Amino acid sequence: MTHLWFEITAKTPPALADAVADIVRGVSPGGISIEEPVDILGPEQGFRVRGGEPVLIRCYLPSSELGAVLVEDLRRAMEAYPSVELSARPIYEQDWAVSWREFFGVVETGGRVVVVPSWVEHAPADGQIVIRLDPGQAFGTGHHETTRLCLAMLDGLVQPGARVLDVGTGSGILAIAAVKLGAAEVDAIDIDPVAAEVAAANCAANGVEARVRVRAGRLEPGDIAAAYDLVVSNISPDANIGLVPVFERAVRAGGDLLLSGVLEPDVPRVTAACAAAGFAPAETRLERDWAAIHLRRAG
Amino acid sequence: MEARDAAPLGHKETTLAKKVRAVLTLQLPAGKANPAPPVGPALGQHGVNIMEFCKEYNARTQDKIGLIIPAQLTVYEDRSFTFVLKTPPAADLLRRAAGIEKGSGNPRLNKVGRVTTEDIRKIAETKLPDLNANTVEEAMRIIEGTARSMGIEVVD
Repeated sequence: MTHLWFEITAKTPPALADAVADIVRGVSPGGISIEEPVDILGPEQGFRVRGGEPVLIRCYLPSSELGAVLVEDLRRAMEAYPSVELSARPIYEQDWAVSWREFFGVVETGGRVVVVPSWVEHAPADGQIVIRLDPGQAFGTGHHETTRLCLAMLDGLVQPGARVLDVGTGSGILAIAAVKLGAAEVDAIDIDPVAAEVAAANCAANGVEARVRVRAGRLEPGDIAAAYDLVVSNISPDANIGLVPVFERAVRAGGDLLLSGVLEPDVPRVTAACAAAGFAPAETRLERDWAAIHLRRAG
Repeated sequence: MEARDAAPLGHKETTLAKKVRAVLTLQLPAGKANPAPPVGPALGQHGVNIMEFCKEYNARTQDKIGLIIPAQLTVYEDRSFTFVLKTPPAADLLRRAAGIEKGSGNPRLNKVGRVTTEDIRKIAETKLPDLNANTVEEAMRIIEGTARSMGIEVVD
């Protein structure tokens, strides 16, 4: 068993990236990783690849005789590409199947709700409400400010027996919290079908699947059959503003609307759009640069 | 990869407030992802649920065994992730079409194999979604360029 690996990085001009990736794959049949320089854009805009800057093409070779031969093969093949910078750094073998877990522990929200990964043993304190959830292919692990703000504010807004709508449910974390806080039924929707699957699985893992209806798709005002006591929507400011006509139909008179996914500077325009539809701001909480806004519909 | 100049935006339709932490592409043998390198160290440093990725990648590529299928991952600030599959590298498809294992070390002097224009068309059609090309003909020019750079001749 190999205990040491070499991470080989080929810093490559973008025009040569495909050719160099091909060579690196030649010595690393298990695969390679490619990191393009990207500009991370604002919420909902994703990223853009920065043209013209070097691309980092990586492979991992064992520190063994075979590894040494492969490194030499790679070095020789790269002689045809003098503009490519090769570098190596040692990395110790670890149990990669589980070592990523070190990033995740119990998430406290400031309220009664805590989020606990499946591999962590946790004895709940008195009155504590535990959501069991592993990070995966849908947003909402509890490790983002907006999720934590929503979890904290739901505790207090969810009345026993309430009907709740969770827009952009992601991992389903807010829908699960709503049920555990006393909601009778929750409709959870996400435009990403993968997220809807993940949410359904997480609801089942928390034993709340009977009270949560998960659906993949878009939300139109006509989809709302009967008004909800509470609507929570942790999505981008523009998406929230675009959904105001839905919220107008979805929140009963005197009911609550909890919006997040909003950066602090965007709070005024989100509340203004909601005010035009009869929602009055009740409370705004901030964590770092993120905000969650509680609004109440005129009764 | 070839679409680099097209400045592609984040790949997946989303209206979530999530912010991107990292973007990276793994070129892996279809159906064979496991926590060993490169997947383990490449994703582990970002706190991505590695088994979840492997399971999903293998399920989505099991009908493409034998091919290299790139997965472009977006890791969000809360370390949740999504990924989309890309088309196999052009060089790989060309080698398969030419029935050779390696490209030429000196493509101008040593021709190591040949493919037909029809092969180029098929590869261009496969690669079209990831190429910076509007038509199959444009895509074919790009694939022909890759073939030349590998020392693979194109014949009618």
